[in-house]
Amino acid sequence: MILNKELYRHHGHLKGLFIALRITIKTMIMNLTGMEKRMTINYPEEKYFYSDRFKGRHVLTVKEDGTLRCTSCMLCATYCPADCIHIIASNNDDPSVEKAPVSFEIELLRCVFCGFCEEACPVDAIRLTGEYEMAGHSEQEWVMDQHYLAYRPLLSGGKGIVSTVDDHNRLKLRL
Amino acid sequence: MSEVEKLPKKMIKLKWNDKDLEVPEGTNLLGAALNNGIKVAHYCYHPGLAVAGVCRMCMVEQQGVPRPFPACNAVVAEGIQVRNDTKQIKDAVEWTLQFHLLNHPLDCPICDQAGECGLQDYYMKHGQYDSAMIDKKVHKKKVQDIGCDVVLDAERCILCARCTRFVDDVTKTHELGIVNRGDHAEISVQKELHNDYAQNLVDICPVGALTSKDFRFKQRVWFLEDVESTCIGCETGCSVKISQNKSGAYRVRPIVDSEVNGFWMCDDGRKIYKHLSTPGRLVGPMVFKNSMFLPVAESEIKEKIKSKNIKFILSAGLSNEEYQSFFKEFKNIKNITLYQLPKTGAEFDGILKRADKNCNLRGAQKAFKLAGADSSEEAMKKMLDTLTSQDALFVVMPEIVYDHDNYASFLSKIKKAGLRVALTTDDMRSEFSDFHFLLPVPTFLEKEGHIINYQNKERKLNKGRSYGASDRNVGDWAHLFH
Repeated sequence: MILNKELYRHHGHLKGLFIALRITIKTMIMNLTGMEKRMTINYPEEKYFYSDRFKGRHVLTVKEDGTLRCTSCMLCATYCPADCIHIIASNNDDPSVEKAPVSFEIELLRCVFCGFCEEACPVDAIRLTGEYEMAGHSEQEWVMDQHYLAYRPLLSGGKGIVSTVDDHNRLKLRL
Repeated sequence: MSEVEKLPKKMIKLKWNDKDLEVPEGTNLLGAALNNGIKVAHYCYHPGLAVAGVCRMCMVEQQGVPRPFPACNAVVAEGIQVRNDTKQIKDAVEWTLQFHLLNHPLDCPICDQAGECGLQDYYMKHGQYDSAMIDKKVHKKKVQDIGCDVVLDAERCILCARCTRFVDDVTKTHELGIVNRGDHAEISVQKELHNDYAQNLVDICPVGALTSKDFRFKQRVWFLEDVESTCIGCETGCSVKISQNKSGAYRVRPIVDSEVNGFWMCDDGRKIYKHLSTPGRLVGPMVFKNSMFLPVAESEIKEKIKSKNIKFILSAGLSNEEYQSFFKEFKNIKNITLYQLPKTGAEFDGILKRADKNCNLRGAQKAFKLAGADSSEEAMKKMLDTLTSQDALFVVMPEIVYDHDNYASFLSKIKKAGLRVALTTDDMRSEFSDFHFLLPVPTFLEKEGHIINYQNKERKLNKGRSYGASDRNVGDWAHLFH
């Protein structure tokens, strides 16, 4: 498709081509000399960091002692429009914990990254992070279990992201 | 029934808010409103228990009475005008609810009651949202195993006293009581629960203080759907609802049925869901080979039974419709007897439980009589004694077995038959290794039908979700013989 038909009709095709190339060459020189900021980056050598609001791969946060914050209340699984969260709850012997997940799985291929799970969670146990690089072959590679969600090496070297949201208020009010 | 009770009760007219009600004389005022579809917040009132009047949620105003009073503690009278929609009453209910919630822990995410909790429901309607509490909450002991698979969380309790009234009035075992005063008052367990109706406590608890160990944390209640059916645990035939979803069946609860079970059901009946969604549910015919059950083609079974002498032992747990279709399809077979589960426990425990565990013995006997077959135990024993290696014995397995010794001795006797085929729902029971083939039949929740209970009353079985091969009932397997 020729965008500027008038230009070619007026000058003929060869001359028109060079006139049109002018803007390409100008931009190339500007970019090479650094006179104008480039719109692209050298991915994957350079990486773009999205803001915290970006909804990427999920993370399960941990308590200060390193255990999962999730209480398996199933609100995320209830709210999830893609039905991609599968939790199996179990009894915890610690009466202050009482209920904890034995299995927490997210099927990434089903997930629509809407962030409803993050909103539904009453204890800040699940967050969507800025991680956007996802690739995999078989379907199994796209199912993330609780070990990967909470303790993958990217998250403070496998220690997980510690969250203390509301803990202070909770202890103060002894809710 | 005495002469007085037989007389039709006088009807009484009264006015609740702007609605005219007409109820029999002597009805509880709150009960009159609830029976007529008026929603009134209440915790302690339960139609099956004595009135306590402790939760103060059902306050009403009556014209001509100076102060509000709880409706559950009053009886209807001719022409009274009662209101619970005035500002004074709304304030009273809001503040009462706030009192109930003062020391209530924020456990909803981990509480099994969430979704069907009285506190959650009424908080949405009558909640004050901003707590006026500035002190620390009083803490009590959580997760107490109080016996009979019931777990007590003293913190969540609002002291409605339904559970203490239940063990005092219904089971008369008196295990629970309320001790201490004020915000230190709590349910005390004087001795471990030791009655056959303890799971009813979980049902009647309006909050999450009493939860069932069996159901604990298995599912959130909003993922479940209830199917109304009839308990097949014994000949009483209580009306029950079974909660299930696509991943399995999870619990059994009673339905209010004044003619049979009233408000309650026994703990044995609560276990009738266990075999519905076991991993061992059959999906097709199976053969016992290499010490395990493997899928097999129907033609192979057909081949094996061709020259054999067919004999049948039915269980007394099928529906009337199944017996009918069975006797219609198997007209030519003369050797049909009935295996009856032996009586276990007391003849009648005074509340609901009965010793006869055959849920449809009356229906079976009726069908056998109609078909001219002998349903007596002697006939079955005679058949067992005369089994030879030329016989192909088909046994319809009872769904639920209580007396395992009797059952094992029954199974040891059938070994004389040359070919043994079980019609069953699952292959989980180890005794099935005595059989050559297994044929799948539906469970009680996978078929429509009727059973006849001890009162000779027809009880309905309804169809819920299916977790195995359930499209063929006992009579439908007749095509193997043609």
